[in-house]
Amino acid sequence: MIEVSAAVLTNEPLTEDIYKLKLQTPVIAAGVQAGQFVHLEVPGFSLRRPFTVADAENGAITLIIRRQGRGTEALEQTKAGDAIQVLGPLGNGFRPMPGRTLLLGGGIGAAALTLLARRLDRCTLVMGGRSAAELWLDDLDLPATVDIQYATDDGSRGFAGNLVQYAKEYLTPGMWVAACGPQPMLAGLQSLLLQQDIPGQFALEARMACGLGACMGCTCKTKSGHALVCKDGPVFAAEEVALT
Amino acid sequence: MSRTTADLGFAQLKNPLMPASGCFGWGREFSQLFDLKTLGAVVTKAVTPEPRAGNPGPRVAETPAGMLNAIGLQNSGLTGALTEELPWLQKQEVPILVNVAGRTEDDYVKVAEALAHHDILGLELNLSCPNVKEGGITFGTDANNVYRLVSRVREVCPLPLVVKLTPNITDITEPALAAEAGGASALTLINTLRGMAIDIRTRRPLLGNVTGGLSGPAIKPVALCLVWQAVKAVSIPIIGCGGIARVEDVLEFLLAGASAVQVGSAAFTDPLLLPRLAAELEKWLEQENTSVRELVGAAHPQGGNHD
Repeated sequence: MIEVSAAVLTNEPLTEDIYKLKLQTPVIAAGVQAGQFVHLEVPGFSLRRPFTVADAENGAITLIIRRQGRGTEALEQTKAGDAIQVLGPLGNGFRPMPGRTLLLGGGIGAAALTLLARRLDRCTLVMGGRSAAELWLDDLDLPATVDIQYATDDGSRGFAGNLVQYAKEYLTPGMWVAACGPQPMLAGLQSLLLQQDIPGQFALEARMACGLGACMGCTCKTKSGHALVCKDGPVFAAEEVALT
Repeated sequence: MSRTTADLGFAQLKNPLMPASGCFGWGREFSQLFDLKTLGAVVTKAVTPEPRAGNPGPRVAETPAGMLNAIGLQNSGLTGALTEELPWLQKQEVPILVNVAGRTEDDYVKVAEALAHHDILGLELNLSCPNVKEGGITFGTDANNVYRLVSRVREVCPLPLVVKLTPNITDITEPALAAEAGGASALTLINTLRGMAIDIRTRRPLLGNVTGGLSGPAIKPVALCLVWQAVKAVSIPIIGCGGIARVEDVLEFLLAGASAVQVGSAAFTDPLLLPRLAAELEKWLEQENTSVRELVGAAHPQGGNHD
């Protein structure tokens, strides 16, 4: 884990409110595990912003970011050549399990799964959204080993329905699931996995201060008490997290 | 003794820089980024007699020039501190101030007694946490309570006692004088200011605890003013804390009369801030051909203890 000044290589929009930020940071790119995150300083803001590394190759990391407030607005304005302070890689990533992998990413949650998808021999990565306009996996040049699927609430692309409904339809014994997305999605998925006795891992997010485990700001509930998203996670065993 | 030496009366530190309690854990995480020996001292996360789970989330929120936190003193209790945290930190060869908190006076006495004969620089008594229902701030806002609690801890613990006070009070000199009378060796000023934020989307308070403590550059003028006032009232050393983010802030606190300083939330913006401030302070003192001890209280018309 290092704190380093990274140059912006590219910064381009993927959809109306999602953009892809590529940073030159060889040490982090070489060491990052799928599911780990980096903590970005945004000039003028007190707290850093945590983002999962969505891709890492050739000395660079890619972050996929949703414009959500003033911090992510400011990051969207950065241009090639700008320097950003980056702390990382942080947290615990996914631990690939035996069997076929189904990756389920709700909206921006899909960004937490793309590096894992790239590194698995074969997998199915399903991105869920309200409609086709929100989907962006096609723009990432994912390798052919990744079977890309979509699920939309309005049926405008791929499976008509949400990711929990998709999982109900397509989950089969022998699979394992990696997921990231809104809490209702993870809660629905958690009951489904328990019912069918299928193992899973969930990547969580939280408001964070230090990102290191020192300040205890990013708490989440687990079956065994409070855990820190930054240090104990962000990836947890699906059955461990308390989502209600 | 060097230019950067800070004199706390009961100890001399290599420099006046230390992390503020709660922002630094026990130093383990930050030690992956820099050598803790670059610090004057490490102030630990609060220790309570029993483990505490802390408050529900969200626990932090950004504010203009600062942040709110409502952690709720999450810690692994006295047993965790003595078996896991303290032995590790003692190996790092940096002076240690263990922060102590509790629900009741007995809680503070119990923790202080258990730490009394350990090899540490001293204790920092947290009489000022705004984020717990019992204890913390409720002690620090009443001068009689401050006096009684510090006196009771003093009876069982020969270690230097630094008392951390709250700014959420009308007259800072009352608890400051009470702590001094009770046997405090030094004071830390200030803990966070109580504040809150509301999420307009959910139309509910943003923090799980509803209210939290405001820290960061936004509170620096408040902290500086309270240090200024307390320095005039007491004769024990004061550790300044509140919004320090740049070397100029460190210098302002020293000039106001603080003998040392603590850096809290600014280390979240820049995790390497503390060692950078230590280097920048040393450079500034060399350029100006002065020392930390010369600066302490120099902004007061006739030095530290006058108007």
